[in-house]
Amino acid sequence: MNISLITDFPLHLLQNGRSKIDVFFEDEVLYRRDPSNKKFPFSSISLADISTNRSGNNNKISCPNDSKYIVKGTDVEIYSGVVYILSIKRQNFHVELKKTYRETSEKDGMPYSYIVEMYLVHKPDEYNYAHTVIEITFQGKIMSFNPDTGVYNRGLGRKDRLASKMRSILRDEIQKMVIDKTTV
Amino acid sequence: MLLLNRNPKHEISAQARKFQNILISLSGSDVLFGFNPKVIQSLGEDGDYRKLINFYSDSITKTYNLDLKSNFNKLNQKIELSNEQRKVFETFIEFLLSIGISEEKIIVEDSIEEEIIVGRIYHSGTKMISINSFGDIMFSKSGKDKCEDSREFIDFEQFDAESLAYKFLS
Repeated sequence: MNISLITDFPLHLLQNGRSKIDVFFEDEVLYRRDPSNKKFPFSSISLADISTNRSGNNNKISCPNDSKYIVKGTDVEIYSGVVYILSIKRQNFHVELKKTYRETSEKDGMPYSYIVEMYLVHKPDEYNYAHTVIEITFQGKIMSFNPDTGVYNRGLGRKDRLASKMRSILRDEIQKMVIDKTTV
Repeated sequence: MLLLNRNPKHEISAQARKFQNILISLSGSDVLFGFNPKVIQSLGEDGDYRKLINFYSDSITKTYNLDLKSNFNKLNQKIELSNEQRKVFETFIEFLLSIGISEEKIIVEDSIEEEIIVGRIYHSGTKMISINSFGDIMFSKSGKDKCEDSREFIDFEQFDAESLAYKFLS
């Protein structure tokens, strides 16, 4: 359905020229839809382009119900299902927007390391001011599933033992942010 | 019972004693809530561990192995398990079945990059095991409070079903 035809589309989600906010509040949470019905949904999440909505202080930016609007261009789909609530505080993102993980292994007697960073970035768009992404970098490169670049498959998605360990760590970190879930 | 069928007689006592110790540590937890550890202890005192096995067989639902095996078969059809992954997963699930853990307590899920997740959700948190295609294991615990969180890695070569079950269930 076209966005202009949805009478209950929440106006507070419209960006209306507002700038992004580069800090997160201690009690702030993120909302993320999950249609998978899994008990450990973030243990199997794709580690690139992880979209969420930020709540702001006391849901001033968005609330769980706002996650039901999926805006594609000027068209909107309405989602019905589970929305997970992730705590910012659980990963100290209110203190620092970046978390760094370094793991080392050995191949043919030679030590090597991978460095993965996880960032929380407020990325408002025209119809969703709350839009926030968990951005992952591998050896300094932002992971993305863009098939033209193949960045993920050559990076964090590569099939070696250490990369697999890093993926498990990141999924575990995100899963541990979950503090509740609700249905919209 | 798997323990009795799979092991020669001389191995039964030692293995059953370990099994008894695990279950004593679990009594009072949400896995074996309401069982008195002294009763469990006394069952093995005369060396007849069949009593111990029977105790758990009688205590826990009999449908468990069908449910868990059906989950395993579904996973098998959905993702292609590597030999190492299959070995860890099968051995671990068999061990859980052998001590009578029921499917309703255990969650088995697949992951996007062919990892297997085995998890438990209990009143104050979660425990999760992730097995990757190399057979390496991540054991993760999450509590209501951040300070209760922990994570450890076990390489395929170091995998031991009994000690992993102990961490997972205790």
